Amino acid sequence: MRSVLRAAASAGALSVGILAAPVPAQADGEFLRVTPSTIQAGFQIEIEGFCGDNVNPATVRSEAFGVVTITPVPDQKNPNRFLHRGTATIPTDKSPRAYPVTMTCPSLQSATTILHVVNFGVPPHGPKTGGGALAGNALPTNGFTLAGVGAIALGSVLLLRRKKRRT
Amino acid sequence: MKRVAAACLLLFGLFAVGIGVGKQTGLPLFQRAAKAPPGEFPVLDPSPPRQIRIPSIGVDAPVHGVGREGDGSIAVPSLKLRNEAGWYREGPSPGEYGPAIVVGHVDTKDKPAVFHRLKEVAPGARIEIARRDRTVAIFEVNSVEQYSKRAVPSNVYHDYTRPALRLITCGGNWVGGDTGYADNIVVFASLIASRPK
Repeated sequence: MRSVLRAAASAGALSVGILAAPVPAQADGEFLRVTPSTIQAGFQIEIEGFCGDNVNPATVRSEAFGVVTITPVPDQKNPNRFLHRGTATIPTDKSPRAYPVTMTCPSLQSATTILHVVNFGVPPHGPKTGGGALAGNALPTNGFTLAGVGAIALGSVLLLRRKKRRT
Repeated sequence: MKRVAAACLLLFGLFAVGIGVGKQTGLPLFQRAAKAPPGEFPVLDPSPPRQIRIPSIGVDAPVHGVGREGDGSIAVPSLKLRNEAGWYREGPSPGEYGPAIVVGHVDTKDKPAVFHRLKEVAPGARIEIARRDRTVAIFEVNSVEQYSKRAVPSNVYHDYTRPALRLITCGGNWVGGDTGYADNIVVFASLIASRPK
C-alpha cells in the first residue's frame, strides 16, 4: 500500500516537475527555486531552497542580484523539515538575459537554477494597431439606442398629452 | 391605464438607451463578468511564439517578434500583413512568468485585420499559442478591457504573479493623425495548460 502511495506521489511530483519549468536543480535532495522565474529588473524575487537536515543559513549567488543569505524556516507542508527562504531584488539597470543562480548549503552541497531577467519600461502610450478601415463603424448607431430614444419620445408625448387634457 | 403604459414605455426607453450607450462606448454597463485565473498553473521555459489561435473568434495567424517604435510605443506588424500578430520580444515569452504581449491590427487602411473581433472574446475563452520549442501554451481569457491609449495601466506590462498573456489591438473613436484610434482593447489571459504540438 505504502509503495503504491509512494509511486503515485512520485508520479504526481514528476508531472508537476514537467509542468513547472525550470525544474529545480537537484543533487542529493538539495534544490533551489526562484519565484517568479522570469522577472522585470527592479522587481523582487522569492528564493526557496532545501539543504537537507542542515539548519544553518545558506548563501545564494547570482550575477543578477549578487549574494544573499537565506535562512531556514519550518516547511509548512512538512513540519519535520526545514526550507531555506529569502528574497532578492534585481537592480533596475540589469541587462536582460538568463542568469544562473547557485545556492551553497552549509554542508557545501549546492543547487542551481536559472533566473530570466527582462528589462523594459512601460511604453508612453499604447500601440498603433489600426489603419482606419473600420473607423466609420467605430460608433455604430445600434438598435438599442434607437429603440430607446423612440420609446422615450413616445412615452413622454403620451404622458404630457394626458396632463394637458386634465388641466 | 394609458398613463401606466406610457410610464412603462419611458422606463423601457431609458434601459434601452443605457444598454445601447454602454455597448457603443464600452462603458462597464452590462459587461460580461471577468473570470478569475486558477490558483494552480504551469510554468514553461522561454520560447518565442510562432502561431496564435483563438477558435471562438476565428483567429489563426502567424506571430513574429516586434520591438519598439521611435516614440517608445510597442511596434506593430506592417499594415500590409493583414493576418499577422506581433510578439513584444523584450518582454516574457508566452508561458514564462509575466505578461507576454501580443499586438495585432484591428484593421488596415481598407480591410478588417487579424484582431478585428478581439472585443467579442468572452472571459473563459481559450487562446492557443504554438511556440518554437514545439509546445502549445493554452491560455484562458480573464477579462477584456478598453483603455485610452494615453492611460494604459502598468499591470498590462508589469505583472509577474503568473504566466499571462495580453492581446492588444485598437478600439474606440478614430482620431487619426499619429494616434489613429483613441483607445486600446486589451485581453487579459492566464496560462492554464500546455501540450506538445
